[in-house]
Amino acid sequence: MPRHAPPLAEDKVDLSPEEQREVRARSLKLLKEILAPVRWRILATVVLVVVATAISTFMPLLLSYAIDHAVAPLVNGDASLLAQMALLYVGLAVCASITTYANVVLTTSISQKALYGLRARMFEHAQKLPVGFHETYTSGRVVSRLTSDLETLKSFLDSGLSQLASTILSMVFTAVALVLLDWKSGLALLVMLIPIWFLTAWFRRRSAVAFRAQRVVNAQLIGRFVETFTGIRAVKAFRYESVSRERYGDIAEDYRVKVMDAIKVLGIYMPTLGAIGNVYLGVVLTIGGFAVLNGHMEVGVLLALTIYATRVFEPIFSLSDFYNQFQSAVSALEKVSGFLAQEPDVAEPAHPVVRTAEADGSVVFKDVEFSYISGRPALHRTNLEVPAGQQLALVGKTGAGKSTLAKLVARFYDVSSGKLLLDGVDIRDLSEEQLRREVVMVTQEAFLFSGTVADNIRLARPSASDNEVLEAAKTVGVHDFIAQLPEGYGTDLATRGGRLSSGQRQLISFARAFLVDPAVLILDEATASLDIPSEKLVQRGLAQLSQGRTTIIIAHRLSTVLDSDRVLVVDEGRIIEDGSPTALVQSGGVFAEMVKAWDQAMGN
Amino acid sequence: MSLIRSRRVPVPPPLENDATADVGLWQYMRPIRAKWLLGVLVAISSTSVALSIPQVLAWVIDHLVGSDSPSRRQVLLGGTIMIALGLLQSGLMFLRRMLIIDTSTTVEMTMRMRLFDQLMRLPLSFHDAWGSGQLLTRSTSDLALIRRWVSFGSVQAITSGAALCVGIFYLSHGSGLLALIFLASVPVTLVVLWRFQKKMKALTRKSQQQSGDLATKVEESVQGIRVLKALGQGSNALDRFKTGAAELMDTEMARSRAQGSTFVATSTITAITLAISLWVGLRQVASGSLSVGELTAFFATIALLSPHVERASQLMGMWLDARVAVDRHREVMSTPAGENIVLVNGATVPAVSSGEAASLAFEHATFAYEDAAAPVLSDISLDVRPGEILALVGPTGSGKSTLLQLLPRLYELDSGSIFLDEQDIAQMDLPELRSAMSIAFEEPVLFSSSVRDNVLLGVNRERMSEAEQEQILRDALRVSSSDFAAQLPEGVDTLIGEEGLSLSGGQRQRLSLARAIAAHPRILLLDDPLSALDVRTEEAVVSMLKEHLRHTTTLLTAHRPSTVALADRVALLENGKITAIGTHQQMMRNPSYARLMMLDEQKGEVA
Repeated sequence: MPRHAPPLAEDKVDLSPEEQREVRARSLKLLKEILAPVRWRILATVVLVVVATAISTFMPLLLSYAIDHAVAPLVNGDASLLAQMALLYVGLAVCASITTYANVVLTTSISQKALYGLRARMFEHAQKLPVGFHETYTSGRVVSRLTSDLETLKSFLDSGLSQLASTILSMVFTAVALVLLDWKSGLALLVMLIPIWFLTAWFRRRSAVAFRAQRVVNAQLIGRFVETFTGIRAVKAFRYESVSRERYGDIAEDYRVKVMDAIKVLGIYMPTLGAIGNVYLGVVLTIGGFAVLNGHMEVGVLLALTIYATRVFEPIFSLSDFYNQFQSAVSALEKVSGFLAQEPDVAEPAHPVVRTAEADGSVVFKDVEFSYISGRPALHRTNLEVPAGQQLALVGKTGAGKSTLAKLVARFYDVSSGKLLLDGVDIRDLSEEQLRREVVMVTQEAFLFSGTVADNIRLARPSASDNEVLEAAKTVGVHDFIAQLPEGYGTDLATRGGRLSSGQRQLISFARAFLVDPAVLILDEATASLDIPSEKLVQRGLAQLSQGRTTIIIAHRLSTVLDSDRVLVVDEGRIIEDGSPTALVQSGGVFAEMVKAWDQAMGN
Repeated sequence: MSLIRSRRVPVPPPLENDATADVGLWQYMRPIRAKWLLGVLVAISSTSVALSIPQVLAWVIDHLVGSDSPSRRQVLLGGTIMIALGLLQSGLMFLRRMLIIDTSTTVEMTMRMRLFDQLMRLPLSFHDAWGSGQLLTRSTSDLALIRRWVSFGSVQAITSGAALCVGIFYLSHGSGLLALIFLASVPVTLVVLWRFQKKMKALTRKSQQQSGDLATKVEESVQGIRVLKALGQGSNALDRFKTGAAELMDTEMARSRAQGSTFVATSTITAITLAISLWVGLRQVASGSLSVGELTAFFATIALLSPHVERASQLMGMWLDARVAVDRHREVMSTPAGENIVLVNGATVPAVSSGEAASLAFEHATFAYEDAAAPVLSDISLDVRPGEILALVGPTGSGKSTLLQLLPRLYELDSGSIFLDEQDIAQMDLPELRSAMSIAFEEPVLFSSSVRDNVLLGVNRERMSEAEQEQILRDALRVSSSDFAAQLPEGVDTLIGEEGLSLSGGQRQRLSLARAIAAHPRILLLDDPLSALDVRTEEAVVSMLKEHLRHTTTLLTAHRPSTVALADRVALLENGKITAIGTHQQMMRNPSYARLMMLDEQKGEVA
C-alpha cells in the first residue's frame, strides 16, 4: 500500500485569521514558558544594555568638552583638567566594556538555558509520540524541528534580543544628543529619516523575498546532491550521469542566480544608505559651521556633532537585519510550538495501575477493532485469549494484519474500540515504563545506531555485561563475524557500518533480544536476507528464548509454525483459522494449503 | 527590477576526463581576474575618498577658528565638497559590489560543477569511504565560505590594508607623534585578535562537532523510534541526549566568554590610545604646533580607521575558513583514477555491438576492499554461456553481491580478468561496458522522478517511438509483477523517490527489477531480487522471468530454493571461492549446498 503523507497543518501557507491568532497565541505561550526561568536575567541584561549604551553615547561629549575647555588652562600651564578628562575617558571606556562583557555572557546564558530546556522537552516529546505520528510526520521533519529550527531560535536569542535593545537605545540616545546639541541638526535628521524609511521598507520586502527564494533553491540543491550520491551505484550502473549532471547543473545555476539577486538587494541598499548618511554629515557640518560663525557653538561641539552624525545611521542596517532574524525566529517558533502541541494519541494514563506481583503474561483481546485510516479497518472485531506461557504463531500474506495485531500488544497504536488486557489490566492503564518492561518486541527493522557493535547489542539492556553481549552474539551466530572485524566488539559502526551485509545487520539486531527478560515477547521473524543455516540458528535461539514466557511470533517459516503451540491464520484483518498446527493441517483449510504449496515449491 | 533580476547563463561544460584541473582559487578565478582586480581598485578608491572627508572637516574648522574673517561662503563650500565626496564614495561602493557579485558567484558555480563532475567520475570505492554527508559539506557550506571570501573577505582585507596606509598618511600630515601613537596600538590590537581567533576557532570546531553529534542522536532516535519503543529504551536515549546537550551548552558559554573578554581587551586598548592622543594632541594645540582642525581630523580619521582594525579578526576567521575549504576541495579534486564516463547529454554512447546475450568468463579474478585485510573474492574462474541463467549461492557475507558489482566495474579487480564475449572488460570503454548490462541491487535505489522515467532509465529512448517505449514499460512492469503502478494516483506518471510518493520495500524492489529488465541488456545482474516478496508473488515473478530471460545472460544471487529454481546452473560460493558448480539436481549431492538449501528438511516458508 503506498503511503502518502497527508498535508500537515504546518505546511499550510495561507491561514485564516482565527488560525493565525491561534498559532500566534500558541507561539507566544511557548516563548513565555521557555523564558520564564530566566526572566530576572533578562531584566538584568536590559539594565546592562542601558548603562553601556549611555556611556558610549556620552564619550564624544567628553572629547568635545576637552577640546573646548582644556586648551585655555593648558596655555597657562595647568594640565589638571586635561588629566582628569583623559583619566575619565579611560575609566568610562573600561566601565562600558565590562558592562558589555557581562551583557554578552549573560545573554548567552539566557539563550543556552532556554534552548537546553526546549531541546530536552522536544526530544522527550518526540519519544512519547506514537509510531503512527512519526509515520505521517516523517523523520526529516522531526529532525529539522530539533536542529535547524532550534538553530534559528538560538541565533535570535544569542544576539537578537540584546542587539535589538542596544540598537534602538543607541539610535535614540544619539538622536537625543544631536537634538540637545543643536536642534537644527536634529530637524535635518528628521528629514533624512523619510527617504531612509522608504528605502528600508523596500529593502525589507525585497530581501525577504530574495532570501526565501534562495533558501528554497538551496534545499532543492541539497536534496538533488544527496539523492545522486546516495544512489551513486545505480547512477553508474545505468549510466545516469549525464542526466544527473544536467538536472543538478540546472538547479545550481538557479541557485547562483538567486544568490546574486539576494546580494544585489544588499548591494543597492547599503551604498544608498551610506550616501544618505554622507549627505547628512555635509549638512550637519554646514549647519554647525554657521552656528560657530554666529558664535552659538564651539568647535568641540561641532566635532561631537559630526561624530554623532556618522553614528546615528549605523544601527539602521542591523535593525533591518534584526527584523529578518526576528521573522525567521517567529516562523521557527510557530513550527516548534506546533510540534509540541501534538498530543500523543497513545497517551500516558493519568493514574497508572501499579501491579503488586510480576506479570505472568496472559493477553486478552476483548472486542478489539483497529483502523489506521478511519473507515478502513485493518483489524476487524477480534476476541482472543492467549494464556500465559503460550507460543503463538501468526501467519498470513503480507499486509494481512499480522504485524498490526502484534503492534497493538506492544501499544505502538491504541485500539480503535474494545480493549486489550495484559494480566487482567487494560494496557492503556499501564505506565509506559511498566508496559515496556513487560512487553518487548523485536522488530524486523535491522536498525543499527552509531556507536560500537557491543553498544548496539546492549541497546535492549545497557547494563548487560560484556560476557552477556558475547553470549547473545554467539547464540545468533554472528560472533565469528564480529570477532574478525578490525576492533571486534569495539568496532564503531558509524564509520564501518557501510559494508555490513544486510544479513549481518539483521543478526546484530536479533542479538539484542537475548538480553531482555519480559513476560511477553513479540518477534517479527523477518529473516529474508539470511541464508538458511543462519536462519535456522536464529530460530533455535529464539525457541530457547521463548521458554517460560508468552511469545507471539510473526512467522515466515513453516518450521517455526509447526513447533509452536498455536497458529492463527490472519487474512484481510480477520483471524480465519485458530488451532494447533496439527489440528489445522488435518482440518484441510488455508493453513493446510500453505503447507502443501511449500512442498510443491520445493519440487516434491 | 531588472537591476536585481540576474540572468541565467549556460552551465559550464565538464572538463575533458584526463585534463588535470588546476584547483587553486586563483586558477578558478582565471576568467574573471580582471573584473575582480577592477573591483579591488574601485574598493580602494572608495575607502581613500572616505578617508579624505575628515580633511574637509579640518579645513572648515581651521577656517572657523584660525581665520580673522571667517565667511559663510567657505563653510558652505566645505559642506558641498563633503557631500560631493560622500556621494562619490557611495557610488564607488555600489560599483564595487556590482563588479564583484558576478565574479564570486561564477567562481562558486564553476567549483560546484567541477566537484560534481569529479565525484561522478570517482569510483565506488571512493564513495564508500567518504559517505554523502562529508561530500555534501564540501559542495554546500565550503563553497559558500569560498564565495564569501572571494566577494567580501579578500577585497576587504586588501582595502583595509590600503585604508591603513592612506589613514597613516593623513594622520602624520597633522602630527607625526599622534600618527605614531595610533600606529603603535594597531599591532597590539592585532595580536589580541589573532589569539582570540585561534581560541575561537578551536571552540567553534568543538561546538560544531557537538551539535553535529546531537543532530545524529536526534536523527537516529527518530529513525529508530520503533526499535527504541519496542525495547523500551526511550528514557535512556533521553539521558544520553541531555548529556550531549549540556556539553554543547558549556562550549557555547566558553565561546561567549572568549568573545566578551576580547571585546574588553580591544576596547580598552582603543580607549587608552584615544586618551593618550587627547593628552598629547591638546598639549600640541596649546603649544601651537597643531591646529584644532587637525586634532579634530585626527579623531574623525581614527573613528574611520578603527573599524578596519577591529574587523581584522573577522577577516582572519574568514581567511582561515576559506583556506580550509579550498584544501578540502583540493583533497577531493586531486584524488586520481577517475572513471571515463559520459557527462553531457547527447554525447554519443557507443551503440551496443549486438543486442544478443553475451558470454562471460572469469579468469582467476581476485578482489579485496580497500581497507580489508583479506580478499572478498579470490581466484574466481567461471564460464557463463550466452543466455544461461546462473545462480550464485553462498552463506551470508560470502561475496555474492560483490561478484555481481565487479562486472559493470563498479569495483575494479585486483588481479585476474573478466571477459565479455572474449573481450577483457578492463580494456572496454566504461559507457560501452555498462550499456551492455543492467543490475537490480539488493537495496533498491529509485530517483525522484516518475515511475515511467525510473523504469526506462537504462533504455535508449531517443531512438524509439512513444509506442515502443510504452510497450517496453508495460512488459517490464508485467514481468516484475508491478501491477500496483497502475493504481498509483497518477499511474506510471506518479512521482516517486525523495520528492514524491514513498513506496514499500517490496514495491521498490519490484520497480528496481522492472528497470533492470526494461533495458533489454545482454547481461542481467540480479542481487537477491525477490527477497522482499511473499511466496505467491515470488512464484508469479519467477515463472514470468523464466520466460522473459531466455535471450539474456543472467547472474543472480539467492537464498531461497524457490529463487534458485530459476537457474540453469548454480555456483556455490564459500569464503570467496567457488567450491562447486552444476545444476540444482547435481548440486544436491554436495553436502554444503544441501545444508544451505536445507534440502534435508522439508519445511520451508509459508509467507
